[in-house]
Amino acid sequence: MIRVDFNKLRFLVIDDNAHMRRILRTLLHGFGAREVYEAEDGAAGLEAYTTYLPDIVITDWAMPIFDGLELTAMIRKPGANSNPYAPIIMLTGHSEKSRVLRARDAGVTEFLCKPISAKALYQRILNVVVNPRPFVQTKDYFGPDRRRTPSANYVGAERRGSGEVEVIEQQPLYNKARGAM
Amino acid sequence: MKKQPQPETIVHKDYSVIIPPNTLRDRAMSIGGKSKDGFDTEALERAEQALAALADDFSQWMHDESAKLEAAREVFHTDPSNDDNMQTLYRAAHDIRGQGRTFGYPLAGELADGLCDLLDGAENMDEKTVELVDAHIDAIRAVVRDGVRDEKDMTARVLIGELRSAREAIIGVDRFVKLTAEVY
Repeated sequence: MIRVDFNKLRFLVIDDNAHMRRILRTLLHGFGAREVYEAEDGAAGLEAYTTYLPDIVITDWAMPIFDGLELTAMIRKPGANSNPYAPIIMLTGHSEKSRVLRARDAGVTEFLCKPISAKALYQRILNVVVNPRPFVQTKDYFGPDRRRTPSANYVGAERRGSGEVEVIEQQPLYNKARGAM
Repeated sequence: MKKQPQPETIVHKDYSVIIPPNTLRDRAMSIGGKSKDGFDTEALERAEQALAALADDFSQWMHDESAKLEAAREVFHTDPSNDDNMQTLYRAAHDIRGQGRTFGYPLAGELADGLCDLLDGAENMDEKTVELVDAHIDAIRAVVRDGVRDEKDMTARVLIGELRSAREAIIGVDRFVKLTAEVY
């Protein structure tokens, strides 16, 4: 049995729509979170990210000044800030497959389509806490491993280029705990 | 001074695998509770109840979004080919696409989804396209003004079908493949 204490997590919500920020704040407080910071565009979001050092970022895609995709790239840029590893949940009205792939390739951790559901948001947050993925750095990508699971059926070329495939499993803590019981 | 945990890096020929320290798990996850996977149904219910308590405001919020769309249309009409004007309109439509269903106006969300596809897919803002943009906005405004909340409303469904056909004549069929279930 495991428990996730939302009151120990610091959230940053970035959305240019005040109604959506209110909804997200309401849900996060409902989950038990106490620290929820808000920003209304990508630039303010980046500033808040460096000021408040949030544990989890929830961002919209379409925003003025710079959008959620650009914000993600700036957070992930190695050396640009103190924590390039924070989980980024992109919550957006975009649901086109091509957009999902672009968000993934920019380094988002989870992608969630609007309309928002409390359950889907809760599940995404739980996932980034309980099952964190390793990061991968290639010459043109830095972000969470885009392979969520190793595919036994994959027969194509090794796209990372080295020819060797090494998947590093992270043992979830609750599995360890269960094993010890 | 306490040493900050450092990520572990495994270097390969063309890439590196970096395992960040598990600070979130260490800090927020503990053994206990009633759930095997950490899913706390009581917390979820609390959040859903808190959201339901906001529902009285949703109708007003939808009217606010509709007014914002109208204001964006006025800006758009000053120069439909101007990218900033189109982005302003796009963001207003995009907000309704994402929030219409949450606010109890699923048809407004569906219409706004079509409007976003049109703005995304149109090669240029010629007269015919601008007319179709207006038709989408008029439909969204009417749905909100008249309080049409039933997704199966016959009149609205006919209109949505006509707008879809007109849109596909400009941007093509199935130009945007949508993912509606669990995605990435």
